[in-house]
Amino acid sequence: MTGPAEGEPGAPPVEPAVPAEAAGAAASGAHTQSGAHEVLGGPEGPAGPAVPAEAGAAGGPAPEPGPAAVRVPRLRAPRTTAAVVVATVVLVAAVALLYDVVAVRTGHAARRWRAEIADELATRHLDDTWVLLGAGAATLLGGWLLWLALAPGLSRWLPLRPVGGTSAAIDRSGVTALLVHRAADLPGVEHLRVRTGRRRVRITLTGPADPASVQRKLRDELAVVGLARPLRLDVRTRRGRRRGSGGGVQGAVVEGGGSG
Amino acid sequence: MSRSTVNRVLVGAVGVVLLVAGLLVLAGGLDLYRRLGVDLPDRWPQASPDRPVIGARARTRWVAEAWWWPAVIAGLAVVVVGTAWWLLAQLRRSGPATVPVPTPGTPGLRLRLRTGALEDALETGTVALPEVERVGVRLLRGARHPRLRAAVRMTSGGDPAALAEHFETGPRTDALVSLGLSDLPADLRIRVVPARHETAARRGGRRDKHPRVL
Repeated sequence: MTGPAEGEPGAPPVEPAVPAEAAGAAASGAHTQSGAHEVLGGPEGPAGPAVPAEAGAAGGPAPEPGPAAVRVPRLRAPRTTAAVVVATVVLVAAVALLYDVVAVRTGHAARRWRAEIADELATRHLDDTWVLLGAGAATLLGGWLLWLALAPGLSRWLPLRPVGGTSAAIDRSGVTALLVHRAADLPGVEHLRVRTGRRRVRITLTGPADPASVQRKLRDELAVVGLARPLRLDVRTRRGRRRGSGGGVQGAVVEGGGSG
Repeated sequence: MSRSTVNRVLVGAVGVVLLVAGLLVLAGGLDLYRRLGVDLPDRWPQASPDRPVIGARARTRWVAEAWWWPAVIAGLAVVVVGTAWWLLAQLRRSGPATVPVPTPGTPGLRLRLRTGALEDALETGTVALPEVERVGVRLLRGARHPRLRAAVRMTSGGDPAALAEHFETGPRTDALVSLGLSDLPADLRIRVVPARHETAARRGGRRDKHPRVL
């Protein structure tokens, strides 16, 4: 585990709430909980990019001090595709309208499409079905564009602790792949399903393995990943889903998490 | 202003225009004002469902004025030029074409390195790091300094934190020192090769829906 170093000058200050050595010791400390299959792998904030570790102390009945959360600026998508589409549509519409307006001013007749649109707009009333449908579509499209403008995007990338001038991020299906790879070596795990969200990892396993020990091992693996804001880890067992008889099919289902 | 900010402001502006126009027509067409008992100012647009979408007064108010058509043409021309510039800005490669290389001891010599060559050198340095399978490095234009963007594919047994540290002490520091820059911030985007692909490769390319894990 690496201690968070100085961020770049423009970035918000890095705040390690727990020293890295203490966090590592706590993460690897054996603290078995019989029956409780849900342990905090790290502090979880209600909102915002990251919270100090003190805030996670009240998060569960028996919180384990995981690696501390570090404040890093949220990744923001450049919205290139949306910009290209919107700019193209506006450009085509404006060029067509400009061409036709200039043509009419220089003595030619208006194109039929413009005469028809002007005619419809001047005669159709507001309670016309097509007007209402068009208005509904415009409202939805406008709301979506506004959402694209305001939402940060890139939600499939989870930032890691910054090292010097390098700010790294790992994608959520990458975290899933790391956990599946680690779980492949664990005894007693027949079938494993890992779903990585932005705040927590849900693992459903089939097999005789003890969920608490699986959780401890995978939490160590998650601590090694070094996320700036540690993920919560839930391990659940599901019984009676063996496929076939005897040996059965043993496998891992990998899912990349929710929608990007 | 960065390109991301411009994109977001313009996309948001178009969104607000569509949203407000759509809501005005919906509210008027569904007669929401009367049903909710809202008193409107006199000049409120699209107030009643039995009026046309664009009323006679709005259509004829300025058409007779001498400045109206020149103003419409000028406004449309501004929109056309502005959106064309905006569109071209998306297609342009964002980043300097060359970067200066310091030449200490030889004051007369000016040396510049092509960005592509720098990116190639950084990719070679990064792909040699442990657990790295594939790398793409781009040099982007930053606010004050250029900025590195590295997309890395890591093997599934890898250690992302160690990879970030290796990248920081290896390729990034090398580039920083050899270019003589005061700062060269880097974004490292790490993906992981899914475990099932490795399993399939070990079995001679046969891909299973459920690979064995035990």
